[in-house]
Amino acid sequence: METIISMEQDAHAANHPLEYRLFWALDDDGDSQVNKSDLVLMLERNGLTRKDPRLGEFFTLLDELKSETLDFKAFLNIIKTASTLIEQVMQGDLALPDFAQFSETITSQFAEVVLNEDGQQATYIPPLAEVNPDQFGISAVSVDGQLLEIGDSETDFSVQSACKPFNYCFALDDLGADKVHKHIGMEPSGQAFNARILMSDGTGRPHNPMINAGAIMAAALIKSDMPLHRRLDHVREMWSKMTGGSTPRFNAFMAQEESRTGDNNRALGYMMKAAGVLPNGEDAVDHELRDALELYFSICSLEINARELATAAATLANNGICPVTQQRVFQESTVRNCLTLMQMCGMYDGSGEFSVHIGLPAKSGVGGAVILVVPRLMGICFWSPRLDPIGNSVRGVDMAKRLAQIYRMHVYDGAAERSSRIDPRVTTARSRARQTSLALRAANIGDIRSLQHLYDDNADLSKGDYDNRTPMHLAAAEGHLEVVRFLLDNEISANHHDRWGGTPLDDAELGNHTDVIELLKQHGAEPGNSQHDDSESIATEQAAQYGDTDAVVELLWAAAENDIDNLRRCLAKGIPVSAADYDGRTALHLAASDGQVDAVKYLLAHDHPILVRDRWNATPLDDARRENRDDVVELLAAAEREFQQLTIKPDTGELARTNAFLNRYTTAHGVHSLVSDRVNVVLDEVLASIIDHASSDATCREIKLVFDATAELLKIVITSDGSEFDPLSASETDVGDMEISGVAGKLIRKFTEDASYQRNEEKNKLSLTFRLTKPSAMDT
Amino acid sequence: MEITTRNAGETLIVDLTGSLDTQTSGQASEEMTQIVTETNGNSLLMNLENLEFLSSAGLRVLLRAAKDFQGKGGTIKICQAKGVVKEVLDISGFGSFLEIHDNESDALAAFS
Repeated sequence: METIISMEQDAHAANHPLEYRLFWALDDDGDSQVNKSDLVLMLERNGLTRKDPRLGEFFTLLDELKSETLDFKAFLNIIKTASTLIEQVMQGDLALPDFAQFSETITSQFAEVVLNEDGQQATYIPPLAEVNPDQFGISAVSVDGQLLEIGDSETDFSVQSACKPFNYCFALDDLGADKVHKHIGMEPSGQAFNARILMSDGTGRPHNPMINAGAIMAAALIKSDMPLHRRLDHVREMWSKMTGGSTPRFNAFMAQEESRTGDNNRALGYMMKAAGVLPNGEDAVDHELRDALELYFSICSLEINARELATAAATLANNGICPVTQQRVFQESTVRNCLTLMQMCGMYDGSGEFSVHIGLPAKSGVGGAVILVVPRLMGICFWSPRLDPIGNSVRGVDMAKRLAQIYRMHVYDGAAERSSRIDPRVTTARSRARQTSLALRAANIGDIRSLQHLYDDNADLSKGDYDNRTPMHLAAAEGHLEVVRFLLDNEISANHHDRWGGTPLDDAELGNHTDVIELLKQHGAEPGNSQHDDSESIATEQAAQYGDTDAVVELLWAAAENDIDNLRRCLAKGIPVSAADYDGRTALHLAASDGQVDAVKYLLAHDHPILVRDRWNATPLDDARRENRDDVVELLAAAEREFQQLTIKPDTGELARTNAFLNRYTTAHGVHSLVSDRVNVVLDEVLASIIDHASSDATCREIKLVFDATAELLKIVITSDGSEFDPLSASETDVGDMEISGVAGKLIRKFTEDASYQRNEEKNKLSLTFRLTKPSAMDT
Repeated sequence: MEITTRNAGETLIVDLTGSLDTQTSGQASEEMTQIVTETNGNSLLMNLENLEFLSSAGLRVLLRAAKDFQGKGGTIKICQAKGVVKEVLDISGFGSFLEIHDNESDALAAFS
């Protein structure tokens, strides 16, 4: 016979540990409810909105719920419609993890660039000349489908030459590179986009697909066996795949005007026909060329908006997979060929200079569009009609230049950590934490090789953390003489003051590292005026140890800056809430020191222990007092009181809380586990008795337990309301089972130093005293 | 709290894991009654190696199971109690009407 019987209630949370962690991280006040609005806001701040087809079911379910909050079951039910995406959002793992900041940056640049009214819109055909030139739209789409839209991002405009890279892709994907490159070259032409020249290598091919001749050739190659109208339908379907479902609109009048003014393009076509380089070679007939030209004019006359064009660019950034539908549109090799030629030839005669400064594959169109592809990160579209003399949108190029100055996006940017430009692939919080923690950690563990490497890499080795602790402080505190010498030799000051006014010399003295003290003094190091207060409380709770120092530093910084978004992100990633840094500092220490009330509340609601102690034995409450953070002092003092007392209802279901409370209390006071178990036995006996009595006494509504420990003794006072009842005498006369009658009384007598009962002020008061010294074998 | 059973020859061994206290005693009592009722053998050994906690409410469960089993003519023994569980058993005087052994093999040997 094999029976397995579990008496634990099946906890939903235990079956879904990851989802529960996400829920918990978002449950700011710890009431086991998540606000719908917080969830939606979090998605929006990450560039995910109702427009995203992946979130259709998610929003439908969310809207159907009447309540403004979600419990775990409802949360689970809703997020499973898009669980991977939501997991990425909450853990900060999307392509643009700091989307909110990215959005702010681009928006503020937009506000400046919109003032730039230089340039002239295209006028060679009437419909382009009629467009309002003041319009300006920006859209960016990350490879994870995060969407940024600013200004006129939903306004249709003529795609014009911005279609060229895509025509090339359609042909490549259909026919293969070998075939396509028999008809189109891969070289910059060095001439204007409409220049009447072909390659002089004997092939007579157009130079590349980004100039008119090459684009006409690409059109000639697209589904050449189909009738003309089907070919245009095919192109529009391909656009729909790239944009995640939007089919570009066809402007027949524009196409007619393109054709009417298209003699130069016809001339290019006939040159290619004469060179025998059209798909049918020397057998090419007039209608083949005519269809190719008409298709080209039609494609250039498609209308599209900035969001759609950015999504198409993002499909290229994402190696050919549409970021919104996650469907593959192009083969990887197609995208690679296209991006290479975009970078060389995409910006008309300005391509070389643009590539040097911006360093990204790009394409412009005379409709005013500029698209940028940031490989493996995002696609961007700037649209504004006024053009510079080369034919590129003035505001588009202005924006591209500004972005290049702000962000590390140039394909040849090095991987160096320290740059004034921002890496959009990591959050600034993460990158700051990383820059700081590498040196501090190396100093803390005496890793001189890593410090040398950081020094060679131009890292600032005098930079401090959120407590202004520098590598020199930590090396001195830990007695790493060689590290201190290395830092001094490299002219790092030994007189930085940390949060408490302490210098490295103070650290060395605290650690009693005489050799370090001597060395520091030889180099003119001075003592600081370090002020650390000793805590009144004797209890200590353990902080968590977590190997990833960067992550810990990031968590602590988030607490110091009241950055609840990032606190949530850290917890969603599974960083323990009470993780301590090299100085034993925790998130609660930092939030308390800097008076960040929201962060303190968030951390307390997430079970951050309150009696954690840093290197100087200080608790978060000590920090808050020292820095006169009155609001935080109040919160933490209340938490410390709560730590010493517990109120339960007269219900056996409450005994689990009592048990957890006792465990936390005795652990913090270093009580031997056997003694703690004995206390637990006594509490189980007396509380069971009181609860049993209360079942026939409706006037007993609550039971209050107050704990008070010294090094030697633990005193527990249990007060209950209701009629007079002495659990001690009851425990002596229990006759339920003859064999063990009075056992409860025996256990209480054996395990306590003293137990007494009093009735006063209409309350039952039971005092229990336990000896905390190391237990010896019981004399029974 | 978790209760599992296994066989060692003629003896049914019941392994108790976790806490046997006021909170868990109701459910544990039902499970123990079921085990005692369903078994056909004459010897039952409660192994308390993984029992972390025991109070008088839990003692009552063990006592009830022992009485039921003895009522069927069976013999019940306890083994491998440790820490506070052993102390509670000792103080209660459980040993005067149930055999308590330090290890499982001694207890099994004592059945024959």
